[in-house]
Amino acid sequence: MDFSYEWHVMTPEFSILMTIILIGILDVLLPKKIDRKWFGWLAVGGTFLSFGLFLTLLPLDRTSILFDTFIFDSFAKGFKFILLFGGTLLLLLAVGSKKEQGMEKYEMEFYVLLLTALFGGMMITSSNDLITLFIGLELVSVSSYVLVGMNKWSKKTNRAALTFLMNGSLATAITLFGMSYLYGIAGTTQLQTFLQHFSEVSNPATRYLYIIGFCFLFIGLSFKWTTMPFSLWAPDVYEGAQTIVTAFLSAFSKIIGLIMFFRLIFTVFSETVLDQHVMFSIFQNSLLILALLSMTFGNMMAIGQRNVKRLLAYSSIAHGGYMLAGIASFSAHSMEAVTYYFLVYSLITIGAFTIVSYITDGNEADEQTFTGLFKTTPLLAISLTIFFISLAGLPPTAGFIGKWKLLISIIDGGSPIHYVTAIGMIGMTIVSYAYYFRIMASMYFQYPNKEEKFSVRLPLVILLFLCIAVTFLIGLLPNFGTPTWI
Amino acid sequence: MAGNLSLLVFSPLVFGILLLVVRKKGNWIGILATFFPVIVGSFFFHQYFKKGIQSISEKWPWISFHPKGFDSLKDPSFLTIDYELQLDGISLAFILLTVLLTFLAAILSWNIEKHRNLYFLLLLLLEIGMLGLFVAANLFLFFIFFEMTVVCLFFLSGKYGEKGKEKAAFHLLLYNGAGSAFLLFAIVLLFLQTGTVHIEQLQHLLHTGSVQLNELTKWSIVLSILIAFGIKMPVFPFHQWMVLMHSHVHPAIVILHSGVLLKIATYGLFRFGIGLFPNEWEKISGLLLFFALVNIFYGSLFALRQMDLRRVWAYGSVAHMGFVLLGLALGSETGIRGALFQSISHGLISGLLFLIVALILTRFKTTDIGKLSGLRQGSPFAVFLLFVGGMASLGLPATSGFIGEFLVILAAFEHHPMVGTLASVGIVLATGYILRAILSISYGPLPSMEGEKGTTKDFYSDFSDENKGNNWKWNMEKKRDPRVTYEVYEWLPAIVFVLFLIGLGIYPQWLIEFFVGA
Repeated sequence: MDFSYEWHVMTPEFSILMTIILIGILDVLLPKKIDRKWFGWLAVGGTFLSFGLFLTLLPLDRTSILFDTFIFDSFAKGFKFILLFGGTLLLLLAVGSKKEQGMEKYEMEFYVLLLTALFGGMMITSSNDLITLFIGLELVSVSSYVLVGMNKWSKKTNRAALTFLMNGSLATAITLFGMSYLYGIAGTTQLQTFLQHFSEVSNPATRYLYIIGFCFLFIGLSFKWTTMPFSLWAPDVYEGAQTIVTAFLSAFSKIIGLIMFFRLIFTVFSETVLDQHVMFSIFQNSLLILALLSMTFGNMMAIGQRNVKRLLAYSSIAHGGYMLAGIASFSAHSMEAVTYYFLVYSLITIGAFTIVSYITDGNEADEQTFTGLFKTTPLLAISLTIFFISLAGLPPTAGFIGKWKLLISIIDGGSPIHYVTAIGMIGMTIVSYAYYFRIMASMYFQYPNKEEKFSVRLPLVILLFLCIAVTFLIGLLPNFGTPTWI
Repeated sequence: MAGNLSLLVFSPLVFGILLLVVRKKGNWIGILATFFPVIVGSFFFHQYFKKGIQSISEKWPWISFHPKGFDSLKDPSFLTIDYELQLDGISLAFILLTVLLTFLAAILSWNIEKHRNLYFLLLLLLEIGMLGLFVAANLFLFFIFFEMTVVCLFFLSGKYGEKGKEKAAFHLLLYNGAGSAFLLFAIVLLFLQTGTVHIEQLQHLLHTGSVQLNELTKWSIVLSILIAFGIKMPVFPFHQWMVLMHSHVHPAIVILHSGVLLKIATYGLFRFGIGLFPNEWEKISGLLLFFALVNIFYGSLFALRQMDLRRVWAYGSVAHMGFVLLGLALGSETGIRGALFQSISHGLISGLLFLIVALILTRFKTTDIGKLSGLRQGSPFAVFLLFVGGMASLGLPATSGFIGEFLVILAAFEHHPMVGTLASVGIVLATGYILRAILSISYGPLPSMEGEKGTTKDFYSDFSDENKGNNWKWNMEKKRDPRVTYEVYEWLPAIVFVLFLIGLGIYPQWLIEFFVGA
């Protein structure tokens, strides 16, 4: 056996890890009176380094190290790109936005946890083994539990943190339970060898075990990406957490769950043939129905919300439905469509939350705060309009192309349930206009309650500029959004 | 030639960019920016007729949706969408209508003060959307521009108008959103089944039978297209949003809405309904004829009992669009030409009618027929315009309204004499509601108006749901009696409308030449 691994494929992960350690050590060693604010920039620097290293790796073909548990293939490339991009934006957001009351003391913890989550997500995109997948998932989960509960003086946050912890740990247990079934059938944790082991199984009764395994896995993971019926924790948690953490949950942790699921479907479930049944086609319809349900539920509930963070939470449930539908349709277009949509979604969600965090400034995100925004700070109003239009899937933004790609991928499936899902998705998009445009209407058509201008902060301006530029760039030239190496 | 059509589509931005930089004189910049497309449009007009170029097109590679593992060498154009624009006679007619009406609407918006730069910027974006969808050579681009018009119109109508404008804006958004949802579904289905969205290629593929769609797919596409444009037109059960728009939004925007945006439906049904699925169109023409008649009668009868002048015009528009649908449903050459002619002519007529609404609103603060009277004494020019607009609207010969309705009814008598007879009755009803409105406004005693000479009170403030800032601020401090005199930005567009209406009525061939290909 050859142990001279090609370690360089892990350099992006290493640089994140080194940044985490560096920040941790510096916090201990530096005198108390030194302001910890610049840790944020250090973290941003770390992700930039990681990003650069990642770009140098792009020409590589499929590479695997550590006994094939860590692979670097087109899947990993595509999603790692999205995660690094989203992570950088999130960190910029964290640097730029004002922390809630009393949170200034926890700069180190905050960035370390965010970076750990990023690290976990990157591990997930590359792992080829149930064990590493699970470890990656736990890295993300545990750091998000802490992130949600960091503001320990707020009652709302405590409730959110407890809800999140209970739900999340239950979900983890269920995931692990599902994995154990799969391990029981195949006798291995290696994803690549799963297929081969499954085909050797001759007992038809294992089919049911397999179905149980899949269901538990799906249920456990769907807590992460908040689709029906495992989404009810989301609004409370989103509302209670700090806005940056909400952005993180909505744009980042959600996508990580979906990536993990997609990886499993991609390599294992879609190709498993047990007892002459293509296993994935058994689940496909129910997944599409679940997707349809969460679109409907999310959009319908969002209409009635007056708190913008809650509203975005429900809207994110709906978007989870769209993405799940794209994955579950599993046609020739799925991969491209889903990758593109992930990129767009994380971009515009972070953009939208940036403005929410900007405007609420650590206070309640009531819709009243947005009234007459165009009068006080036109730039923020216009930026938020662009993000909302993109979330609503209207051209010429990237959101429209994303929806279009998802639709193609869904309808390409060809069966009646696919058509129903597509029609439902289009219909629900129209429902979503109602609440996105309601906020926009109050921003433009009404007069502000109090005349106050919002001061401009440099990192946020950079961030907004980045988000808007990329939204339009890949909206007008969508081929940029689907690089050839995916 | 490459790039010229893009120049046409994006011409409003050439000077419109200045609105972002220059804070003052937004109305001058707006008018200049909308005048530039008029020049570019006339340039294309010149090329089309004087040089005899039949169609101008432009193409750039854009997006490909090849699935993973697709052999792109086999058929490189499969599942790709290019940036393709194409201009033929019919597009050109609608383009000229668009640039003219936007220019005149911009002039009429002279007095807008609330967020003036935003207003003109939105107006220009709306114009880009309208121009783009008339020259889009594929369904995807058409859809993008179509949605652009909806979003711009949402902001324009929700922000500039009087009480109830926001409700109107949301009605617009949701009705049109539903319409575009159907359209999107149809486009995606077509794209996946045929691999292209280019209109001419689709025509070729569908007519030669190289792509066989099964019945279910075909009918779901046809019905989706019908519903999408039926909402836009609007056809009877879907008309509520349009009435709200007409009666609550700033007249300058209504000019564009009623004059151009409703005509997208004509254009869309002609291009994608008749153009792509002629056989299916023939099969359901009976149903469409029924809806057209319903529109004509419903619109006319409701117009008869409205007390608000704007609602009279709105229901009148419903009736007139019924004639357009009638002509399209007949499917014969005369019918289609009549429908297209009627579209353009109704665009100009409703332009004039809502210009009058603007004049009356600024002077008398109300469009209630019950309160207005004796305009002939106070405001003879408005009455002159009312008569020209009204006569054109009810189809008096020597106005453009006559030609369109005449062609449509002529076509109806060819095959369905009964339909023709009923439609003629519709014209008689039109005479009823228009004369009722015009006469009760024009004659009678002059009522005592609140906005008397020398008052500085903003006439709009008592409607407005917000007291700060007025949409139109009319300078009442001028020495002349404002009810009798007219500003340049009022009479100039009015004269242009009158000239066009009568010109087209006397020499309709000028416009019909555009439709030679139809």
